[in-house]
Amino acid sequence: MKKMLILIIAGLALLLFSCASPPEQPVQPEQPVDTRAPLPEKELAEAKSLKTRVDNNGLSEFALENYQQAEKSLQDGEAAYGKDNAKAKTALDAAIASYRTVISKAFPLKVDRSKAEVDTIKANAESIKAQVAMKSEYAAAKAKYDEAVAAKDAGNFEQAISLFAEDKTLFQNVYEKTKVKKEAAEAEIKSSQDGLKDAEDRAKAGDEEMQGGGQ
Amino acid sequence: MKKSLLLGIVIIGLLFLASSASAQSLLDNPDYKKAVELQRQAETAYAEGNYDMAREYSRQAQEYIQRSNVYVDNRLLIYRANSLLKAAQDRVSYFKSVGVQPEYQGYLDQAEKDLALAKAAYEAGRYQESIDYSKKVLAGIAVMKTVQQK
Repeated sequence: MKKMLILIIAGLALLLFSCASPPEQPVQPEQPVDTRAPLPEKELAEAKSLKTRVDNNGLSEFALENYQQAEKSLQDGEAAYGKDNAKAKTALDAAIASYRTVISKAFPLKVDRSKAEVDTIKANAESIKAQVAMKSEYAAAKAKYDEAVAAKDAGNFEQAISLFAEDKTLFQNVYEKTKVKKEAAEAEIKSSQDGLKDAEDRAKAGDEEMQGGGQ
Repeated sequence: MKKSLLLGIVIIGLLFLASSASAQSLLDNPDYKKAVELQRQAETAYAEGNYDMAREYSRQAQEYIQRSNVYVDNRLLIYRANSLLKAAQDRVSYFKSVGVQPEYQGYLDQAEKDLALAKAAYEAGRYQESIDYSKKVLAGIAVMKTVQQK
């Protein structure tokens, strides 16, 4: 009986031990925020300025991957700004580098595209002799074109893009006006051609009547 | 021999002139020629891209085409007036020479009066009026019979 009692107590003790919760792990202390690093104000301003430049010139599509990296870094930088300035600076430096890459890659491509667009419209205008039909307007558009090409060649990409954009409008206008003049001339020429044909028919009928000796 | 050769050449020359004059087309008029020239200039200007000038030349060409048409119409009118006057004159002369049955004398008298009016209108350059009188003469004479006819 005594043995039995000992066994029951031992069993209960074992059961109690197994149901007990594990010992608590020691709480890791939070990483201390580096508040000693200065606010990366200059970096934030520069990153934002570069972003504005990229967006205003529509450069993102020409270096999309770099642009997305720059955008992510800028977001990270802004999120950490004032909380973890060292981390913010690192992110903003990365954003600046990425925006600069976008600018260096995209500007030449963008200028080339702008020039190509103007070249197409210019060629269309020249194909209908705008240089003759709209002499002074064509000359103005051509002067702007030369200015834009010079800016491009000098590496002044923003200026070149702006000039090409203005020139695109000028050449489009020259083309449209030339087309109207051309069509008006075609209609007038067709009218006089028809008139000549009619005059010839009348005269031939008259000749036949006169040579036939009567009516 | 020499004289007859010269005469032959002169006759051939006159025949040539006569045939070329009769073969002259109504298109051989300065207004039509000017219109053709202006049309050519219009097409050249158009090909060069000078669309304003092309329109102007074409517009001028149309003016000359109009003038040419007036010339052709006028020449035809004169020709018709002349032909009808000649036909009316021939018919009146014929009936006068052969004589008409008495009941048609009034018609012949009227035809002579109308013929005189047709001539006067022709000489005054009123060709359409001349044509109308000549037609009247021919219509009146169409019903007449000569003395030989029964």
